[in-house]
Parts: sequence; structure tokens; C-alpha cells
Amino acid sequence: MIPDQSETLSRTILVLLPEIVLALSAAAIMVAGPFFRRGRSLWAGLSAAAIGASLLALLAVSGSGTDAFAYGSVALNDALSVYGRFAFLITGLILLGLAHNQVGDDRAAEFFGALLFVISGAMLVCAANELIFLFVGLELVSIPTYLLLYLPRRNRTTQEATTKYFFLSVFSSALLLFGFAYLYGLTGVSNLKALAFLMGGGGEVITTGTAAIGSIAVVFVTAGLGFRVAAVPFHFYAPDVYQGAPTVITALLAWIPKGIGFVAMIRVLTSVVSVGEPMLSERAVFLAWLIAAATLILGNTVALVQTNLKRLFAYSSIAHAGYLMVGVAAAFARVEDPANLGPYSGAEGIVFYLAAYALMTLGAFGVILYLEGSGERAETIDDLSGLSRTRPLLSLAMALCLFSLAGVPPLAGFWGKFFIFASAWTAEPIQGIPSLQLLAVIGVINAAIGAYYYLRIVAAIYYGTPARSPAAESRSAAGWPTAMAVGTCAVLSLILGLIPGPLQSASRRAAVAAIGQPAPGTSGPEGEDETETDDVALVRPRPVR
Amino acid sequence: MTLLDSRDLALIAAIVALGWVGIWLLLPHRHGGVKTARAYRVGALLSAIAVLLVLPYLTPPGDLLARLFFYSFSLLALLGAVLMITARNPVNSALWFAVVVLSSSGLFLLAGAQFLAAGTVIVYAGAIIVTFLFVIMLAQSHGQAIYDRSARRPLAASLTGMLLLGALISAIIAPGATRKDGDPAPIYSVGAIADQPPADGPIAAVTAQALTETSRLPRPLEQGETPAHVAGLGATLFTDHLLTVQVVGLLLFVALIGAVAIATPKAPIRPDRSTASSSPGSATTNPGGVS
Amino acid sequence: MATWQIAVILVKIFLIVGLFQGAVAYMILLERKIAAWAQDRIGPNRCGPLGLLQPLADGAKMLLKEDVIPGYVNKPLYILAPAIAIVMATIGFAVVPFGPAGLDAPTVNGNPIHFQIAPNVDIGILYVFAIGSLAVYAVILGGYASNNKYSFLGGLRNSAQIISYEIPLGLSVLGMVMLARSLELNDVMSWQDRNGLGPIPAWGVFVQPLAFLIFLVSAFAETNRLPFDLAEAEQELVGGFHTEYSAMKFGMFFLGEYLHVITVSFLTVILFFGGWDAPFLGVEDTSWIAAVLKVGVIFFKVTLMVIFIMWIRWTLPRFRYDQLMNLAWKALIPLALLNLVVTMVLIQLFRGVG
Repeated sequence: MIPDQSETLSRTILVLLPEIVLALSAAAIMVAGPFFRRGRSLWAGLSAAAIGASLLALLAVSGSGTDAFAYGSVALNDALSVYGRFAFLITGLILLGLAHNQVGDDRAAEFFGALLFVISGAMLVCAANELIFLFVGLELVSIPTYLLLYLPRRNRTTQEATTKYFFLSVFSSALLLFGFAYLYGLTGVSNLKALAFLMGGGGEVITTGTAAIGSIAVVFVTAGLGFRVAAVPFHFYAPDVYQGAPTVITALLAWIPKGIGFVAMIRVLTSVVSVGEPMLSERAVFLAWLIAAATLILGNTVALVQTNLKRLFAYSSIAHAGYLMVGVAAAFARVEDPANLGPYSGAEGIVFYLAAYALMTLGAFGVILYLEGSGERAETIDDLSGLSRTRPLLSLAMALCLFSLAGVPPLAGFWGKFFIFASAWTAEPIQGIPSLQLLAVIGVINAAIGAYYYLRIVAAIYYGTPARSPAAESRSAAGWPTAMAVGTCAVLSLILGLIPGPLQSASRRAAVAAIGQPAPGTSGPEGEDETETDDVALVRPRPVR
Repeated sequence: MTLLDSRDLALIAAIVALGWVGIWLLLPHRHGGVKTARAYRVGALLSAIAVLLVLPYLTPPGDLLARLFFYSFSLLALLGAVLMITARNPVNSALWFAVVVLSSSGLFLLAGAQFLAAGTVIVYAGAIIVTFLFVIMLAQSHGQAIYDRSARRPLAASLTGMLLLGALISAIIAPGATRKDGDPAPIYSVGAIADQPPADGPIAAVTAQALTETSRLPRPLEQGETPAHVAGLGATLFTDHLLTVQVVGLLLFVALIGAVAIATPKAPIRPDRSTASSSPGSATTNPGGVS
Repeated sequence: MATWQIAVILVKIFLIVGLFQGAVAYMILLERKIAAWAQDRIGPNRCGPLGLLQPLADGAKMLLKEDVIPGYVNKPLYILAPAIAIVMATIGFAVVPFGPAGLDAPTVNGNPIHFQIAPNVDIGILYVFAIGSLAVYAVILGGYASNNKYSFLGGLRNSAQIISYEIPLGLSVLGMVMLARSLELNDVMSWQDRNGLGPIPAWGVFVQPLAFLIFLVSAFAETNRLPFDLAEAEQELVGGFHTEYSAMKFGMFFLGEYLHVITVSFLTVILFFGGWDAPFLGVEDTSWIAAVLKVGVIFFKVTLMVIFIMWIRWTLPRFRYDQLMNLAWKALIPLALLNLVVTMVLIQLFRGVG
């Protein structure tokens, strides 16, 4: 029996409870702002409470499956959705900690409200199972981001950064919508699970050339999302915008658009294309191959010559988009049986890498923010020189984050790179395009190049001579939330590096859920039971190697 | 990979080349300089030939009347689009954009999307472009700036656009992509499956769940029957896409608050005073600009 | 589509366009008479009995006057603006029923003859709004192309005014649309006929009084009539957007404005005064006699509405610009939203779900 429409709807609303809590609190904060002239700490505290409430709501609903409704509902509560939403809530809390003192009292309510909207938009993208819903979720991230870019500081550089980001983001949305239109035209359904199902099992339904129309869709959707993740050739805005934006917003830009961009790629592209027609999947792999190689090489080589920290991190974030694109290329490869992924899957690597990337990049930006907050200059690498003498703990945190970014073994960043390269290495070779193993080799070489410029910063911190004498400097604190956020990032990077097992099995479940196709047409209590057992059967936790 | 035969390839290459040179000639000068009338004439001729070369690939819809309207709306939209990017006066650009919007809504109307057509006219032509005009007129009170009159990298931009067009055409006409006569588009064939009782097979069950009653295309109607476009649209928006509509509401809310927060007048400025203060500037110089 | 159907449509188009443009000439006379009455004058009485030939004289004057195009104008746009004004005012009539159409249309050999140029257009009133929203181009372009500071100010004022007042206008109609469950104007009329409490008909003015007021005010603003004629404001802006226009180009703006008045009167009558609805006429009367009566009723009501609009012109002073904006954004839009929500809730309560 087909699940009832209203039943599907009420179930979806229940599943989206965390986002609803967050968005309603954000709206309430924004509305209350003009009426209660209070300091920013009140609004920051309220925002933290809202994120906490949303976290509780997520824990409460995380058990309820949506497999019975997968082909009819706009949002899913599968493993990928729970994983992603959890990640965005945690990093949202970290971002809030970094941002708590970055805005003037007069604009604090709007600022924190917009931050909450960004987080809820990102969570909607993780849960989205429908083209339009996904697009709206992406926009719910973009539009408050323009606000966040402009609110904390009003000067010419911020204006320039905001304008650049605004126009390019709008342009990328147009490309994305153009691609979505073709994707919808392939089958006439906008539900992503149903789209994947019809592309794969329902092949006989689709009489027109899916490869031709589908490749238009893949190209444009990749282009639209490529802007968000700053992949070559859509990377060019990143250095200017990162440099011009307030540091905390740079941190946000380095993480949230990239995170949702790749989650959206898993949801819209890889899960749909990899089960579809082989020719389409081959073309998609080739496209991702080219983008990944170009992004890796450009990001890493240009980062070598940067001295400004924010520009360096901008190019490093482009390079990381390259590593993640390697995972996308692997995930595009044809999957014969959605229930049985290989030992390493591209989506799994992407999901793991994203979590690690979030921690290490937010941690690194947090250190810069902390230094700025205590009145020190932290614009170029030389400004950090000799930092270990004056601030040993902060230097340690920075070093951990940078090592993790470089992919040094016992840290989270290493495992992310490992899973992605492993998935590329083990992928089936495809006739007519350069093999993914070559891409993995390019990736490893680039990781080595990348290690150079990260280690250069670490060397400056530990072996450089301080510009000023430590005694003369007045040491003011930057606020405990920033310190806590930085500490959390560094410690989690270390812990996840030492014990990657739980995160890895979670990413495995997420990857399986993203591509999995639950048995259609089940509803009611017995249907739910069935899908529960399905879930268990699908997920085979694997020991960590 | 599907390959096109040499005739198609030659035709597409010709479209791209002619369109490139044509649009490049039509675009304003790189530094806002003046081009000769002959350049414009040659550009218009080349672009027109490029448009004519696309004709063999078109299968016009419906009977003679529908065909007539289809071609006139399409050509008007194309003309408007070309003139919009090539106009040297921003006001004219905005007006040509309005022409593009109006002709596109004519095409929507031909495709049976009445609500979309009306909505496009009301929102785009009636509100957004009017606001554009408003802003352009206010901003032009001291005459046109150089960046209004010049095109940025016209050669590269027109080549990129035309290459994209060529790639799209070749993807659409590639073997396997063109429909054989009588072959329904997937949007219909999938819809037909959803209409059947979902007894047999997982495909039927999936389509029935994905294409609920409200989200299907309206059936072709008998003569005299009133199609319920707007009611059907409302039904699907408020059942299948209810949550999406709510999120769009949030989006508009953020945009509204954002606009207010970014604008931030220091003291409340009344509209009459703002008009009065801007009027001397716009009045002393020529607001009409030169054309 | 059969040839005779196209012929019928063409006949209707010629009839309506000719009728209304002729009516405009006499509306100007009417306006002048009402103005004279309001100001205790006699008004035009020289041409023909009671001045009834005055419109002909006015028309001849417009056509024969020298058509001056100043040298400093943006010529293509300058010529385009009055054309837009008249075209947009005319094509708005396409979906406005001027008698029974749809279900209660009288028939010839079993084929219904609709008293409407384009019957069964599902979007009905949205089309009227779409065309109405395009009419602003005439004023904006006229103001811009004239290259004159008075015209320019008039154009700017008008664009802001029309964009602002479109919102309450659209929102106020939605209440009636929800009650009738259709955007088509025929359905709204027949709904008003079919429902009602005993002798009191369910006219929009009774079931949606607040919406009626909002609609009326916004419609005045959309037609640029006093008290909302800030775009032309003779005392401040000479003539506003049409300062630089002369002869028939000016006449076309004039014609467009009066055609707008007719459209608005029709909409008001159809949405809020039952259209052809009268105590002795019902939706089930499909005879030709009933049809003629219905046409008579609707035109009678429209004439009353037109007179009302002209009467208002000499009663209220002009708004100041900030008052104009405050009225739209701080009063009309919130009230229209409130009306919409209350109507929605009441419909849901009394009709139940679905």
C-alpha cells in the first residue's frame, strides 16, 4: 500500500523537528532584536540554547526511520541525514563560540539569527530528498550568509567581499537550477530516491537518451555546486572573499558552503548517477576527475607562495575541495548493487573527510580569531612567528589543526585522505578515461606538497623569533567561548585520529543510506518493521584497519 | 560516447562561429568607444544566420496558429535577449529584458502554464524590472558612467556563451536523445505508470509514491472542460511541497530582515524627504540620458 | 477552432474596444459636468444640446493639433510610452465579462455565446493584474524619455506608487477568490448569485467589507486618480509625466487613464457588487432576454461606479508622498493580510476540511 499523503507529511514534519526548532528560534531572535536593546551576550546565549534544543530534538527523532516514505517525502531521516545534521549542529556551536564577540551590540540579534538560519539551512540540505527542497535549503544558507558577511564590519573591503560573493552565489544558483530542470526532465519526478530508482531499476520506463540529457544535468549541477565548494574553475572568488570577510565569517565560508555542497553532491549526483546508465556514470567520473585534478594542483601550488594567512587558507580550502572531488569521482563510478558497496566507497570517504575538515579548519581559524581578539596581529605567517614562547597551548592547538590539515598520520585529516584515496584506488577501471588510480597518485603527491606550506606555519610558530618581546605585550583574553571552541576542535581532531572507528562506521552507514533504495510501497507498522530489519541488513559495520 | 555525424557537427560549428562573431560585433566596445554602423549591421546579419541555422533542429508544436505564436514568441525572446546584452543604455537593456520576460511568458502560455505566465509577468515585468528601471534612472542622474557603456571582455564572453550553446545543442540532438515520433516523453510515460493501479512491480509502487495524485500533470481535457491549473498548482504546493513553501517563507523573512539590517538608516528617513533630496541632482543634469 | 468561433471573438473585440473608447469620450464630458456641478459652475454647454457634441469637438481638437516632439527627448521611448498606455488599458478587457459567460451563457444552436472576449481563462483576474502591472511602463517611460525634471519626478513617484499599491490590491481580491474558489470572474459572479441570506445577496461588499474598502483605495491609486494623482500633480509638477506630450499622444495617455477607470469599475462591480446579479436574475436563467437584462444590470452598476469615482475626485485633497507610502505599507497591506487570514480561518471553520 502506498503511504497516505498526510501521513507522509506529518512524519516528515516530525523528522524535521530539529530544523524547525532552530529556524523558529532564529526568527524569534530576529524579531525580538529591535524591541529588546540588550547586549550581544544575551543573543549569543539564546542562540546556544537554541542549538542545544535542536540537538536534543535531533537525538529524539534520530531513531525514527523514514524508509517507508522514502519515495514520497521531501526529507529523509537516514544515516546520512542524521550524521550531517549532527555535524552541522556541533560545528554550529563551535562557530557560535568563535563568533560570540565578533559583532556590535546593535546588530547582534540579526547576526546570531542569521547564523542559526545558516545552520538550519545546512541541516535541511543534509535531510533533503527532493530537488526543490534541496535548492531551498541551499538558499537558506546563502541568503543569511550575505547578511553575515556584511553585518560585523562595514568598510570597503567587506563591501567588496560581500558583493563578489553575492553575485557569484546568485549566478551559481542559476546554474544549479538549470541543471535541476534537466534532472527533473529525465523522469518527471523530483523525489531524489525515486529519481535514482527510476534511473536504475526503472530503466525501461525512460525511453529517451538519459546519457545526453543526464550529462547536461550533471555538468550544470556540478558547476552550481562547484561554486559553493570552491572547486576549479569556480574557485576564483575564494581568496578575495576570504581575505575581505571578517575572520569568523571566513571560517564559516570555509566550512559550511563546502559541507553542504558535497552533501548535496552525494544526494543529487552520485547517488543518482552511480546507479543509472553506465555511459552517464562514465562521463560523470571523467568530469569529476578533471575537476579534482585541476583543483588539487592549482590549490596546492598557489598556496605555496602565499604569505597572508587568510589567502593561504583560502587556497588550502580549494585544495581540500580537490581531495573531496577525488571522492566524488570515485562515488560517481557505477554501483551494480546499491545494497552492497565495495570495501571503500567514495561517499564514505567524503563524509568522513568533511567532519575532519570541519574540525581542523575551524580550529585553525579559531586560533587566528583568538589572536585577533587579544589584540595581536595575525595576518601573515610572520605574525605567528615565535608564538609558542608566548602562548604554548594555543600554539599546540594550531599545530594539531595544521598537522591534521596536512594529513599527518595519527590525526583525523589523515584518515579522511586515506579513505578517499583508498576508494579511488580500489575503484573499477573505466575504459576510455584516465584511471582513478592515477587520480589517487596525483592526490598523494599534492598532499605532500600541501604538507610543506602547513609545516611552514608550524615551523614559524615553534622555531621563529617573536617580533616583539613577550614581556612588553599586554596580554588580554579573547573570551572563554573562543578558547573552548579552539580546544574542542584540536582535541577532537586528535581523538578522531586516534580512534577513527566510530566515525568511520557512521560514515559507512551514511554512505550506504545515501545510495540505498528501500523496498517501495511499504507502510504501516508491519512496513516499518520490515524496513527496520532492512536497515540492519544493509549496514554491516566493518572493523577499522 | 555518442558521436554526431559530420553534417550536424558542421552545422553546430557554424552556429557557434557565426554567433560568436555576430554577438561580438554587436556588443558595445570594450572601452565604451563607438563602433561603426557597418559593424552592427554585419553583426546582426551573422547572428540572424546563426539563428536560421538552428531551425532544422526545431520541431514546432501544434497546429498552424500555435506554430505561428511559438515562432513569434521565440524570435522575440531571442531578439530581446540579444538586444538586452548589446544595448549601450542600461534603461534600454532593462526594457529589452522586459521584452524577453513577456515573450517567455507567452511561451509558457502556449505550453499551458497559465499561472506561471501570469506570475512571471506580474513579478518580473511588473515589479522587478520596474524596480530596476527606478534604480537605473536614479543612478544615472549624473549621466552614464563608462562602465555602463562598455562591455567587459566581449570576445571571450561571447565565445563562452556560444560554446555553451553549441554543447547544449549537440547534447540534445545526440543520437538517443531525440525522441522518435509517438514516443512519449519520460514525464508522460512515468506519469502513465503512476496512473495505473500500483498492484504490480516495484516500479509502479515507486512512481505511485513519488507522483502523488496532486503532483501529476493534468490529463488532456475534453473540449469544453475547464482545466483547473491554479487549483491543481495550489493543491500540489500545499500538500507535496508544503514544507518547501514554508522554508521559502523563512527565506523571504531572512531576506527582508537582512535588507532592513543592511540598509540601516541612522535616523528614520521619510520617503518624501529622500525624494526631495535626490531630485535636485537628477533634475539639474539630464535624466533622460543620451541615446 | 472553427472559423465562426474566431469570427465571434473578432466581433466581440471590435464591439468592446469601440464601445469603451467611445464611452471614454462621454466620460470626459461627464467628468467635466460633475466638476462643474461640484464647483457650482455650468460646465460645457456650447456644442450641441446640453454640450453633448463636446466630445466630438474635443476629439477633433486632439487629432488636429500640432504634434510637437521636443528635440531633447529620447525619441523611441517617447513615442512608445503613450502606445503602451493605450494598449495595456485596452487588452485588460480580454477576460472581463460584460454579461453572462461561462455556465449561464446563452446559446445559439447549442453553442454557448460568452459575453467575454476570452472565456474560460483559468487565471482570470491574475491576467487583469498582470496587464495592470505593465501599465506602469507607460508612465515611467513617458517620464524618463521626456528628459524633463517634472516628468522624471512624476515617473519616479508613479513607479513606487504602483508597485506599492499592487500588493494590497492583489491581497484584497483573494478573499473573494477563496470564497468563490475560482480566479475566474464569472465564477465569482455566479457564487455571489447562488449564495446569500434570504433577500440579501452575498455580494462582496457585504461578505468582504474590509476587502472592498482596501480594493477601492488601492484601485484609485492604480488608476492614478485623485487623491492619488501624484504622478501628474498639476500644482507641483505642471503635468507630471505627460508635461512634454501634446496632441494625440497626450490624448492617448488620457484615453488610457479613462479606460483604466472603466476596468476598475468593472472589477469592483463584478467582485463586490454581484456583477449582473439582481433580485430577479439568477445563474440558471440562460435565455437571451435574461442575458440582455444581465448586460443592462452590469452596465448600470458600472456607470454608477464611474460616477462615484469622478465624484471622489472633487471631494478629497491629494495625499502627500509619505502619507501615500504610509497608507500602503502601514495600513492597507497589514489590513489586507488580516482580512485574508480571518477569511481563511472562517472558511475552514464553516466549510470543514476540504
